[in-house]
Amino acid sequence: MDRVSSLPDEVLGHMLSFLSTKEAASTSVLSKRWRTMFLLVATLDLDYEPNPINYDRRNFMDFVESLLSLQGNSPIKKFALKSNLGDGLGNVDPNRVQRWICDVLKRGVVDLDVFITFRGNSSPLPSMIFKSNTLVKLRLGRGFTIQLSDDVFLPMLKTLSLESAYVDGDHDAIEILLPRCPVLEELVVEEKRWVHWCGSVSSPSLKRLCIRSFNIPIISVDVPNLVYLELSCIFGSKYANVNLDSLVEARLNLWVEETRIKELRNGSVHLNPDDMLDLINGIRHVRVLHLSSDALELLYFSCQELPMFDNLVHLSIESDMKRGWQILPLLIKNSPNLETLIFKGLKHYKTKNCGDVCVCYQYKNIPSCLSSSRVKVLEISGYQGKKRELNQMKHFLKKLSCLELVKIRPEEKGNNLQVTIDMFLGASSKWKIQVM
Amino acid sequence: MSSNMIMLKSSDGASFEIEEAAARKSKIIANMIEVECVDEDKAIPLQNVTGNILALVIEYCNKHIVDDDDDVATEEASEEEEEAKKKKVDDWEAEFMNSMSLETMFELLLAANYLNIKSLIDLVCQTIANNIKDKTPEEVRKIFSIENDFTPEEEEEIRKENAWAFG
Repeated sequence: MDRVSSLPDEVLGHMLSFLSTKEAASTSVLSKRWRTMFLLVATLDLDYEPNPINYDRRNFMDFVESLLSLQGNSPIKKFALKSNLGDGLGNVDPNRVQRWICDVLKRGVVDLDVFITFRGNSSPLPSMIFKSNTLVKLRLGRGFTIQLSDDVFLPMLKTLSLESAYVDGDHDAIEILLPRCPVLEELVVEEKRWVHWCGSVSSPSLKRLCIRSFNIPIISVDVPNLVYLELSCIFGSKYANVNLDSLVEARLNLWVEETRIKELRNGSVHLNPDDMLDLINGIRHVRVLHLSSDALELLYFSCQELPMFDNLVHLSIESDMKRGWQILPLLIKNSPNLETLIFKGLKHYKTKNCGDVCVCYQYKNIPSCLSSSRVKVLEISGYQGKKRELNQMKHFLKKLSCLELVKIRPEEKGNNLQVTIDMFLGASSKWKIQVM
Repeated sequence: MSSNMIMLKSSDGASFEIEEAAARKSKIIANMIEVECVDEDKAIPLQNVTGNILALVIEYCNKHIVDDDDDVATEEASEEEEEAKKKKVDDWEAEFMNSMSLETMFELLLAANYLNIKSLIDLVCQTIANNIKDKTPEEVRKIFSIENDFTPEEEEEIRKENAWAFG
């Protein structure tokens, strides 16, 4: 027999678990040795993409049904069921899916990932999901309704991701679930339809938290051991009860409507500085900070004063033609230990309050906040090689006195760009330029 | 980290010196260290692994000696730094796997399985799986020299049974 076929069963089964279940099953036809080998796979990754020519939904349903039944009671590690069935294809029988979920839960599944759409109303999830003592990772997408009772308990759960799952009744799913997941480390809440989430997250075990949502009036995060926080929200929430004492990295992907930013710029609307103050103070000890272009400009309008970011060593900023850099001088000045500065896009919106980080106005004789900065690495991505960008680059190179390395990722690769960079910026004994 | 060196001996009698911390990536070797299972040369005998394969295992273990202690490191490094570090390891692993024949790869997998080095088992399995991905059964048979012992009727039957997998 050939070498691969003579590997022991458990090794072959393990190897097949690195393929999608569809690919693993297609090895059944290789030879008699491989005929039932895919049944040994304990990680099932079933991704149903409807085939537009041949609506093979029944084949899919039958395949999963027979696979689970042939596997019998053998232990299972992962069950991922993903399908994005458009209308007209969507009548996958929810009862069958519910049975499958119950089946894998009984077989001790550790990682359950159900992301499925049904036509019409979403269907209730089997309540035994929320009483599993084996689940370590759980991701629920749309298509199902979550019904929570008082006896919910997930003693092993470390990662919970609720992405547009519908919550039945007037429960606050997060409030019910968090105290009943004693070892939970990671929570992703992607909420578009929940009416009843009050925006409060409180957990002593949580280390990573991502909130992606619209329209939560108040966000309260009492998570003293949190290491990583992502907030992807529309601007307008108030922040209260912020306890993020262990936070190392924060990603603020706030966004704001165009009309609102115009009103802020022309002074017809003012923000209450207290709304954001708790959040800003809550993240001021981070080592790593990512800001969306909206978040950067909103900081300017929200904070009359900025706290010191004494631990900040890595700052990355998204930038585009529509948002301004008014706060940047103060942010850099208040980050005395900053070592790496990243711009995703180098252009910004010119305002009358542009400071000395950019070259919108000539500050020939005024020292720039950049001069006292300790930034060693400057990274620019989405570089287009326009004149304005080049001037901005020259300004950085001239003022950043500790600079050692400049990394440039052009938007499009081209020889001309390389020539311009070499000609105008060149290498110096002080810093190296890398075009990636 | 202690730099205690220990000796490993392959089935064909070749001896290799390796840091204890690296050798402990193998659960079997770690057990053998605990119970002081050594031969007359104070080397740990590995009866199922030949010298040329053991050399590869050792190369892998030496490269990954610190990678597993990353829990502490993650909290200090940013996602970007983590990514850069991961890419470096990935590149090394890709190069490492690229440098060997399929034949060697299977022997390495058997050795990793015997020595119980989970990350190495996973790496080799992933590489073999990549050779199967997006290929037709005919192509897979050819790559691995698998002989098709089905009659055309039998093959048709299986394709029908698992119709979705062949859609």
